Amino acid sequence: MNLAMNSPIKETTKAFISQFETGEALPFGETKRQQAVGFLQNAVLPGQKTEDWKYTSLMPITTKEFQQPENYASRSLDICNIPNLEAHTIVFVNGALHSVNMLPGFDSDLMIQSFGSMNETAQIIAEKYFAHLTPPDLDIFTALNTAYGNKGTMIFVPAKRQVQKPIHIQHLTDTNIPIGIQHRNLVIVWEESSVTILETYHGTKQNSTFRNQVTEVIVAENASLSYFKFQHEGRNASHIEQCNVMQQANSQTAFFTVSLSGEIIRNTLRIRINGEGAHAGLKGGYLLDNIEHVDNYTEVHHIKPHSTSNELYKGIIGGQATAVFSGKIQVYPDAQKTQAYQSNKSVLLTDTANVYTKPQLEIYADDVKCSHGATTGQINEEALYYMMTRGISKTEARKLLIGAFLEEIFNEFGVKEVEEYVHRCIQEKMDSIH
Amino acid sequence: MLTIKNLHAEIDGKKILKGLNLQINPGEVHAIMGPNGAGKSTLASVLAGKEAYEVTEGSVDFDGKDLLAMSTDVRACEGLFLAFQYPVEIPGVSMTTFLKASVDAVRKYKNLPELSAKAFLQYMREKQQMVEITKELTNRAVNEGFSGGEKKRNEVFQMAMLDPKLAVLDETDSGLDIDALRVVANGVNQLKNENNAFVVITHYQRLLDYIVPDFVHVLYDGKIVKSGPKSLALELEEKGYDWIKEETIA
Ligand SMILES: Nc1ncnc2c1ncn2[C@@H]1O[C@H](COP(=O)(O)OP(=O)(O)O)[C@@H](O)[C@H]1O
Ligand SMILES: [Mg+2]
Repeated sequence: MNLAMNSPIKETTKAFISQFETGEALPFGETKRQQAVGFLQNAVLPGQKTEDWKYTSLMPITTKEFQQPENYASRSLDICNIPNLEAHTIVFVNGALHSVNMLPGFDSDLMIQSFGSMNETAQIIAEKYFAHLTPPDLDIFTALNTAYGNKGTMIFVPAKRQVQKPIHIQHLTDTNIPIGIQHRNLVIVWEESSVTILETYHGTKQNSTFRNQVTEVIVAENASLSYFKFQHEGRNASHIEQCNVMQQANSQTAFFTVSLSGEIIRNTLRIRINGEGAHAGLKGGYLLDNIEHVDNYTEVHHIKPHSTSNELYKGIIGGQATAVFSGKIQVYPDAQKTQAYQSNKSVLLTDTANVYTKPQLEIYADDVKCSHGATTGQINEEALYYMMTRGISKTEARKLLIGAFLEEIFNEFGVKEVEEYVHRCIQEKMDSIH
Repeated sequence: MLTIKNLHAEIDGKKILKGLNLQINPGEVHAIMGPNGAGKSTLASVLAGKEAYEVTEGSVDFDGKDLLAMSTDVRACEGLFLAFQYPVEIPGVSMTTFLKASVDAVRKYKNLPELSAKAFLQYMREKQQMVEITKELTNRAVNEGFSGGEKKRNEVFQMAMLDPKLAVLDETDSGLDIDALRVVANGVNQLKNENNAFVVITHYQRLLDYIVPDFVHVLYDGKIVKSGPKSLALELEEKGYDWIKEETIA
C-alpha cells in the first residue's frame, strides 16, 4: 500500500475536491474534461514546500466548506455599475449567467457569449481552443476548473474588427452561504483586430467565497488587446486565477490587474510571445489591509526575436496584509533583440505588513536587454509634512500620495470612466485604512 | 500677530533654539540673518510644526492662539505659511490637484464653500501671472524636475494662492538670479498689506533692496542677539558676523 495515499495533504485534497460537483455538460471540450477528472484522482494541493506557493498558504480556502451557489433571486446589480461607462456587458451572479447586453450597432460577427448558450459557430471555435493554452493537468486548480466548471464567457473578435466600446464582464457575488465558483474565459482576438475588455468582481456581503478561474487569451498577428481585471469582491473573497496568453507576431497587449480586496488572491498571468515584433504590457496594483493577501505570479516567455515586454507591479500594504510578487522572464535561444523590463514597488504602511518579491530571469539568448528591480519603502514623510504646511490634513495628504503611487498602474488603460472609477474606489478604501 | 517668548527647541537631543524672543505686528516685514547653522531654518520648522523638533520651553502666540498646540495643517489654515529652503518633490501629484486640495482645505477650515473647478482655475491663473509661473510648470507634478529657481518661485506662487496672515520665507533668495529675485520680491510686495506680515530669512542684503524690512534681526547660536533697522543688514554685509560674535561673548 502506498503510504502517501493516507497522508494528511491527500485527505485534505480529497475533501476539498469532493465539495465541487459536475454541472450540466458543455457541448465542447469533453476529452479535456475527462483528462482533468483523471488528473484530480491523484492530485494534491500545493503546500508551503511547493516552490511557487512558498508565501501563500491555501489554508484559509481549504479549511472552509463551500457550497454550490444559491440560485440568484433578482437583486440589485448597482454595485457593479461604473458611472457613465458605455460597454457591452455580460453579467454573472453567483457564478451563473444573469444577462448579456450588447450595445446597439455592434458588429454582428462579434461574439460575446456565455458557455451555456453558445451558437454553433461559437461551439466549433470553443471545441478547438478550449484548454488549448491551459492543459487540463497544468495544476490542481486548473484541473478542478476544467473538470467541474461549466460557466464562462467566450469573446471572439473576427479578423480586422476594431471593437469601439469596451466589453465588460461583471461578476457579482451576493450570497448568505460560503460558495465556490468555477468560471472560465476564452478570449480570441483575430488578425488585425482590437478590443478592450474589463472584468470586474464585486460582492454585496462579507461572506466567504472561493472563485477559481481560468482565462485563456489568444491575440493573433497585428491584433491588440487591452484587458483590465478589477478585484473588489470583499475581504473574505478568495480568488485563484490562471490566465494564459498567447501572442502572435506584431500583436500588442496591455494587462492591468488591480486588487482592492480579498482574503487570498492568487493571480497567475503567463504570457507566451510566440511571434516577432510583439509587445506585452503587464501592470498590477494592490491596496491591502487587515490580513488580506495578494499573490501575483507572472511569467513572460519571449520565444521569437524582436519582442518586448514591460512589467510594473505596485502596491500599498497596511495592517498585517501580505503582497507576493513573482516575476519570471524567460528569453528563448532564438529570441535575439528581446527587450524585457520588470519592476515591483511596494510601500508598507505598518511594521506588520509583509512583502515578498521574487524576480527570476532566465536568458538563453545573448543580444537582449533585460532588467528587473524591486523597491520597498514607507510613505514619504517629507512630502506629507510639505502638504500639511499647505493646510492639507494628514489623512487627505496620505490619500493623495497613495492615489498618486497607484495611479501609474491604471492611468493608461484608455477608458476614462474606468480610470476615474478605480481612482475613487482606491480613495474610498484609503478611508478605511489608518 | 506673533509673539515668541523664550523659545527653546531641540532635535535628536541637540539643543538648537536657546531662548528666542520675537514680536511681529501686522503690516511689518522682518528680516532674519545669521551664520549657517545658527538655527534659522529650525525656527521656521518649529513655527510650522515639524514633528522632529521638540519644544522644551517657551511659548508662541499667534493672533491670541497657542500656535504650538496646533498641528501643522491647522497652523496653515490659521494663516501661517512657510516657504521652504528646500521644497519637496511629490512625484505623481499634479500641481493642480495639490493646490486645489490646499485651497479647499483652508476654505473649509474657514467655513467657506469649496471653489468650483472653473473658479479655482481662474484664481490659479491670476496668481500664476503674479509670480510669472508658466502653465507648463503647473501641469507637472509638485516640484518634480523643477530647477532650483523654479522651486523657489513655486513657493511664492503657493503663498500667493493661500494669501497667508504670516509668511516665513526661508532663504527663498538663495540660488536665484537677479530676474528671479525680482519676481519673488514683486510677489511679496504685491501681497503685502497692513493686515499681514512677513519674516524673510536671508544671507544676503541683496534681497532687502527689493523687499524692504522694517526690522533686521541677527540670529546667532539659537537666539536673537541683535535687532535694528534696515541699515543693520548693510553693516552685516560689510563686516560679516564676527563682530556680533565678539559682542555676544563680551
Ligand atoms: N536632524 C538633526 N539632527 C541634529 N542636528 C540637526 C538636525 N537638523 C539640523 N541640525 C543642526 O541644527 C543646527 C541649526 O540648523 P539650521 O536651523 O538648519 O540652521 P540655519 O538655517 O540657520 O543654517 C545646525 O547645527 C544643524 O547641523
Ligand atoms: Mg537654513
